[in-house]
Amino acid sequence: MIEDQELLDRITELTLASLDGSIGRDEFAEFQHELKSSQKARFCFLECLALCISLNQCEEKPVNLPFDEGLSEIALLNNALQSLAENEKMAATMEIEKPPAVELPVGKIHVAPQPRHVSKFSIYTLVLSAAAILMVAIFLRLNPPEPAVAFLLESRNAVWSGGDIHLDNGAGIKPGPISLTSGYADIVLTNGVEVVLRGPVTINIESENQVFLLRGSIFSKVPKSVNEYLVRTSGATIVDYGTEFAVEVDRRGMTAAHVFKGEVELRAGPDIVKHGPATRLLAKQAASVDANGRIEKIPFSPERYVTAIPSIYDIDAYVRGGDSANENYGLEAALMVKNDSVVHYSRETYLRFNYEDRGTGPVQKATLTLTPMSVQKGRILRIRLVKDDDDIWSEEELTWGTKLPSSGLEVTFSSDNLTYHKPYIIDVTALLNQNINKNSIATFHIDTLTQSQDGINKFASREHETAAFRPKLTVTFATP
Amino acid sequence: MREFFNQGNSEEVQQFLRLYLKHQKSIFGYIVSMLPNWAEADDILQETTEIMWRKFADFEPGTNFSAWATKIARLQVLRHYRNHSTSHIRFDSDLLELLSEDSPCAFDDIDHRVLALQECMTKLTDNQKNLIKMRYYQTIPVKEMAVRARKPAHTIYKLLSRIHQSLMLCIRRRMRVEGTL
Repeated sequence: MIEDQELLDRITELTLASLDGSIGRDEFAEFQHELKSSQKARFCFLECLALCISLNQCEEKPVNLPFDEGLSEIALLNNALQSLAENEKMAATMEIEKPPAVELPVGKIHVAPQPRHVSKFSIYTLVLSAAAILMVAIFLRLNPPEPAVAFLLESRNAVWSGGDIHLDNGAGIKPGPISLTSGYADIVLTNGVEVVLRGPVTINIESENQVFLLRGSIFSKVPKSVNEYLVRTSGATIVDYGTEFAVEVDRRGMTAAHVFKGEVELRAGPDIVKHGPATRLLAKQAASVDANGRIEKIPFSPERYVTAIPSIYDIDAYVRGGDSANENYGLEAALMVKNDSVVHYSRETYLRFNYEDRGTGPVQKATLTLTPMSVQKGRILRIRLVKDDDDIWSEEELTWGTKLPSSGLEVTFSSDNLTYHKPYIIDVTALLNQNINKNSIATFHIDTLTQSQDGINKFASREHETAAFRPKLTVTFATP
Repeated sequence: MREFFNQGNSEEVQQFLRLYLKHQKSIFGYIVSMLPNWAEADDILQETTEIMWRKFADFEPGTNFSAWATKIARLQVLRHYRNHSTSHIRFDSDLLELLSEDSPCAFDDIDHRVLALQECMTKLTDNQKNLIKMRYYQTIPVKEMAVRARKPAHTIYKLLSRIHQSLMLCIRRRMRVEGTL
């Protein structure tokens, strides 16, 4: 799914560049290749075109809105220019009469010399002011304000170190350490290098082409146009040669580098100039450097790293055991629940809801609404939550074989209360307020405690043709 | 456009305009899917419109206007390809074939998309809204935005790409909920 998202991001980027006519020959070749090789890419391309045409149709007047340092200036400037231009257009033309020529009298003015009184206080004030201005000038010269070397492209559930630091998407980042306790962030250095972070991670952005990784792991995507980019750690330096690679520093201080594309040089030691042994790593190769500066080849493990921020939206799927353990039922119109002594006939359901845009803080009331499509009486159904770490799953990939464990509090209800095609509301407030659910994304796991060989309880899924029957999560927060 | 309507009677012009305006966006979508470049696609839409009007007598009322129009548009794009063989923005025939299989209906629901988009725009952050407004409503080219923001153009493209992705996702969700997808 992550790879898919990366592809779709790239296709969108290339579509926009192509529409503007600013796409290069090589990029267009890449664009064409991706479109030919993937139907998903073609659908994304067509959808993006439809969006761009729609955006051209929307005739909304621009308004003044806050923006980051660089762009707010532009927005304000543009709005100001536009309103000026509009005022000019609206104003009625009028002719200004030429004033009659008047001969101005010319004379000499004599000013009597006045004695100048300057108090001592004024002199002291002047001297002190001059000294203060001089001090400020010297301070600014010695400590010029540092420009941003990166900006935050996007983040998801990001908690920055200390909890009081908050970075908005698009915010500029100056050189210095930043620490992401949890969540994801995608940072772009001003030279175009993209750095994807997953918390916990601490980095020090040393410059637009140099990052020091103190702990955790980062993934760097380096455009071909960048000549110099390196990642340093306390025990190693990784020099990029036009590539995509991940670097990780574990608790023991060992550095590992995994190359996804292109080539890097892994050097022992953090010094850029004086370093220990070095080795070149090609795509799909990995190596580590231990505390003694020893370099060792290790297996390439791409699954350990995030290469893009995962998209999290509402999805659902059921899974089935036995011979169907590897089958996916994510796009079915029904969600099924059954506990059969023969596992092949057992089914369990997963539903994920992302409610992060509906508010923050403790949940006051949350209800899950499911609409039965088939009812088997006499069953006890159970709902539990999946831990936050497992919230990233794909409805087109989930199977019995990869099903997600659920834990914590449970809500049970009897199927005797269910009626065909009548929405059934379940209070899930307690589930959402558990410690295992802190990311405003809830994955519900529904199974049944009653073993039976007869019939299946079915509920409408998101794919059901009747919108009113689809699963719904209603959440209200204690502090709106 | 007014000039070439001089040749028809007013009823015919009205009939043509009614059909044309209803399908204009999907015809343009079809063209731009074969030739993803605003400026060139605009030219081709204009040429296509002229030819459609000239051949409007051949169009059988009650049949599929959109299908008839896209056939003409396709020929115009291919003619453009032939006449501008040095341009690198041109898909090869295999890809055109694949796209023509995928695209006939891709732009039919554009009016629903515009409605969903208006709703989705309210969900963007102020920063995101501003970028979209600068790009589409003030039509500031990305290169110009990059210069003014003192950021590389590909950085602005990345930002815009993310915003487009979230809008696409939101539109898809809304249309699915409303049953228009």
